[in-house]
Amino acid sequence: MSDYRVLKYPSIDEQIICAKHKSGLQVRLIPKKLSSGCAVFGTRYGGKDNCFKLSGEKEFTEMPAGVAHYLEHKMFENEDGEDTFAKFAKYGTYANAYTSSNVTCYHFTSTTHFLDNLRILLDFVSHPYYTKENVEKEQGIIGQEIRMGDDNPGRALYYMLLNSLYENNPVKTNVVGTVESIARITPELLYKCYNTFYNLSNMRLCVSADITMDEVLGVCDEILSVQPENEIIRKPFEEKDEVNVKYSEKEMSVSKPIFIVGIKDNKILSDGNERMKRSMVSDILTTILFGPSSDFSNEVYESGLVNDFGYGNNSADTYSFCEINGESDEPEKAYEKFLNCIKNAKSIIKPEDFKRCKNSTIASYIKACDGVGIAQAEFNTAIFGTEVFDILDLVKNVTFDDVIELSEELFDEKFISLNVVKPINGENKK
Amino acid sequence: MLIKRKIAEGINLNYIEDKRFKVNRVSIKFLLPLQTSKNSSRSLIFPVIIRGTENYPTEKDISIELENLYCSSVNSSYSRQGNISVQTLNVSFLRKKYIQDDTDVESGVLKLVEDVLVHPLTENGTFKCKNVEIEKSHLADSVRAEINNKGKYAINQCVRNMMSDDPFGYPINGTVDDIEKVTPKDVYEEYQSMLRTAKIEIFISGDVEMEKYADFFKNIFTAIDRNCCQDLEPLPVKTHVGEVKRIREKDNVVQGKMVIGFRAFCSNEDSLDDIIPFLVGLNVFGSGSTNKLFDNVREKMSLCYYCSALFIADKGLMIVQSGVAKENEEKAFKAIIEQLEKMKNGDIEEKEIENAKSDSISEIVAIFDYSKSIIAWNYEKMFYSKPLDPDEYIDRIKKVTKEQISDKFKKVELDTYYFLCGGDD
Repeated sequence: MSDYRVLKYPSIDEQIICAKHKSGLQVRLIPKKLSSGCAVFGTRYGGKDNCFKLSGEKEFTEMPAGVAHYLEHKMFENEDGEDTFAKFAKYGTYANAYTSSNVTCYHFTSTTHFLDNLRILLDFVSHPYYTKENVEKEQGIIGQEIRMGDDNPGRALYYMLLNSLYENNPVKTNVVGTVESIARITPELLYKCYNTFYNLSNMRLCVSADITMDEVLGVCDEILSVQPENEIIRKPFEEKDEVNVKYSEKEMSVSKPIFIVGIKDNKILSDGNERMKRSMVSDILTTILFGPSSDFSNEVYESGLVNDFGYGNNSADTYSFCEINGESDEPEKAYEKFLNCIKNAKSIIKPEDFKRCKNSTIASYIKACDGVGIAQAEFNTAIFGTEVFDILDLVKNVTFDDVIELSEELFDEKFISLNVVKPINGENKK
Repeated sequence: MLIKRKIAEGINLNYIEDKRFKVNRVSIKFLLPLQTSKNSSRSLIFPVIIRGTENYPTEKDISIELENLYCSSVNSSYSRQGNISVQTLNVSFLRKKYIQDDTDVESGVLKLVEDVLVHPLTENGTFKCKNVEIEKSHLADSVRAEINNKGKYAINQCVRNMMSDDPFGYPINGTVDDIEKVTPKDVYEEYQSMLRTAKIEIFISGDVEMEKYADFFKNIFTAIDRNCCQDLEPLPVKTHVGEVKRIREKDNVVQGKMVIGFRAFCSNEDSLDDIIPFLVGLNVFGSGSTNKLFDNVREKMSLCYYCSALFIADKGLMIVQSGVAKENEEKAFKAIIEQLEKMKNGDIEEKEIENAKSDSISEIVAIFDYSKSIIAWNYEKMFYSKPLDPDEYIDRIKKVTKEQISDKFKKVELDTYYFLCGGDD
C-alpha cells in the first residue's frame, strides 16, 4: 500500500487519486465505472524544446527542428523486433502517440486486459531502441507527414501566426521539422534527448478506468526503476513585448482567403494554477466578445463578412495568445471590425454577459467529464501543475474586474497581428 | 436497455436510460427518400430555423438562451443513409443534479426545441428571406471550401465518380449553383413536407422521465396533419464493374493524394452475418489498429505517412487512401494491390485474424461507454433486416474464418483510380 492523496469533487461526482511512485513518476487516476480504460504516459518535451542542458552541464545542446516528434515515432521500435502496435493489437487495443509544441504523449484505450496494456505502455516508453537503420527508415515516412502538413492551409496559417507573434520564442518551431532538419537526426541525438527528457520526474502517467491506484502502482513497480531526478534547463530567450510582424500573407490553393488574428499575452505566470486562472479569464473575455452570443460574431456572420468564424486561447508555460479566425473575401475589413470591437471592449462587456458566459464555461467543463478520455485532459493540465477538475474552482473565482483588467492589458494594437492565406493569383474559386 | 414507443403514425420515441453520464442527449431524426434536387433546400432547413424562432427571433437570442441554460446545445446535421436523407436535430444538456442552482434547464431546452420544430420565424408565409439568404451564402462558401482539405476532397471526388449514376454520388449539400437557386419558399415547403411526411425517430439517452417526453412530442406532432411516407427502401447496390476509370486532377499540392475506389459487392443490403466477415477482413487489410497496408506500405516500404482503407457500407464501396510523393505513385499503387491480392488468396496469418477480431470486439464494447455512440448504434440497427444485440454481434465476430474473409475479398473489384497531383505533372 502506497501513500496517496484523494481529491474529491462531490458536486460533479468525480475524484482524482494522486500518487508519487517510488521511481519518481507522478501518477493520477480518475476512476470510471465503464468498460473502457484509458492511460496516457507522456513527457514535458515537445517541438519547442530544442536547446537545453542538464543542471551541471556547461554548454547548451542544440537539436535539429522536429527531433521530439521523430523520437516519438522511433519509440515504437523494440529490441525484440516486435512492433509496439502489434503488442497492443493482441488485446484489440487502440494505441497511438502525438507530439505538440509542449509535450509528447503515448496513450491507449482498451476494453479488456487493462493492466496488461498498461504494462506494454510503460515498457515501450521506458525502453528506447534506436539504430542507424531504423532511424533512417523513418525519413521517408516523416518526410511524407511533413508534406501532408504543407498541403494543409490551416496548419500553414497557424505557423504564420506564431512567426508573426514571436521573434525568438521557440514555440514557433514547426513540431515536425523540415525535410532538411530531420535529415540530420541520428540515433546518438535521439538518445541524448531521450535521456534528458524521458526522466520520470519530467513525466506523468494519467489513467481513467475502473481500477484501483494500488493496481496501477503495482504495474509501475514491475516496469519502472528508480531514477535520480534531473533538472532540465531550457535555453532562455529574449522576446520583445510587441509582435514580431504585424501582417503576413501567403498564397495556397484555397477557395477564398482564410485569416487568423493573434493577440499576444506577455504576462506568463510561473505558477501553474495562476496561469490556468489567467487562461480562464481570457476564455470568458473572448467568449463575451466573440462567442456565439456576441454582437461581433452575429454581425460578421449575418453580413457574410466571415464564414466559419472561430476564436480561442492558446497558452502553456512559455507563451500565451488569443486568436480569432475565419474565412473572408475581405480579411482587412474583418480585422478593422475586430479592432473596433476591442477598442470598445470596456463598454461592450456587461456584468450580465459576464455572469452568463462564466456559468456556461463552468457547465462546458462539466459536460466534458464523461468518458475515459478525461485522462487526456488531466495529463494536459497536470503536466503544467493543475488538476483538471480544479479548473472548475478557478473559473468560479473569476470576477468581472478580472475580465476588465485583462482586456485593458491585452487590447493594444502593438500586441496584435493579422495573417492571411490567399488563393493563388488572387483567384477565388467559383 | 432501449424502450421503444410509438407516439403517432410513423413516429417512434426510443429511450435508453443511462445514469452513468452527466449529459442528457436528445436526437430527433427525420427520414425521407433521398432526392438530389432537394439536397440544398433540405440541408438549409434547420440552419435557417436556428437563426430565429417566434420566441427567440435572432440567433443571438437563441445563443443567449443556450448559455443561460448552462451550455446546452441545439444543433443540426444533414446526412444520408444510403438513399435515405436524414435531417437531425441534436440536443444536449446537463442533468439536473449537476446544475449548481435552481434553473430548470430541461424545461428551457424543451421550450426551445418546440420553437425550433414548430414555431420558426416566418414572413409572408415563408421563412424570413434574410435568414435564408444568409444561410445560402454560408452553405455555398462551405461547398467551395471543400478544396481546402485535400485528403477529404480527393475521397469525395473518387466516390462521386464511382456513384455518378446514383443519387448518393451527388454532393450532399448540392452544388453552388443549386444553392444559389433555392428560394425561401422552397426551403419552407420542404420544411412543411418534412414535418408532414418524414418518418421520425426520436432518441433519448440519459436520465429523464420518459412519459414527459412522450407527451411533449405527442403534443407537437399530433397538431400536424401527418401522412407518413412509407417508401424508404434503399436503391439496389450496383452488381458489376465496367471499365476501370482513371482520373487525374491537378491542384497546387506538394504531396499527391491517392484514392482507390473498389466495389466490395457486400453492403448493408446483406445480412449482418454476411457483412461481419468482410468487416473483420477490412480490419486485417487496412482499417485495424495494425493492418497490412500500414505494416507494408508505410512501415516496411516507407512510402507514406498514412495508408488506410474505409468502407461505405450503404453502397458497398471500399476506399483506400494514401498521401504519396508523385515519383512513388506507381510503386505505392502496386504495393496496395499486392496486399489486396494477399487478402484474396487467403495469404493471412492466424495472428492477423485474431488481432482483427479483438480490435472489432473492442470497438463494439466501447460504443456503450459514450451516450452519443449508444444513440448511433441503436439508430443504425433500424436499417438491418435482422439486427443483432451486442453479444450476438461479438459472437459472430468470433466465429469468422479465414476462408470467409478471403471469399469476401475475392469479390472485391477495382472501379476507380483517382490521383490529385501537383501542377507540373
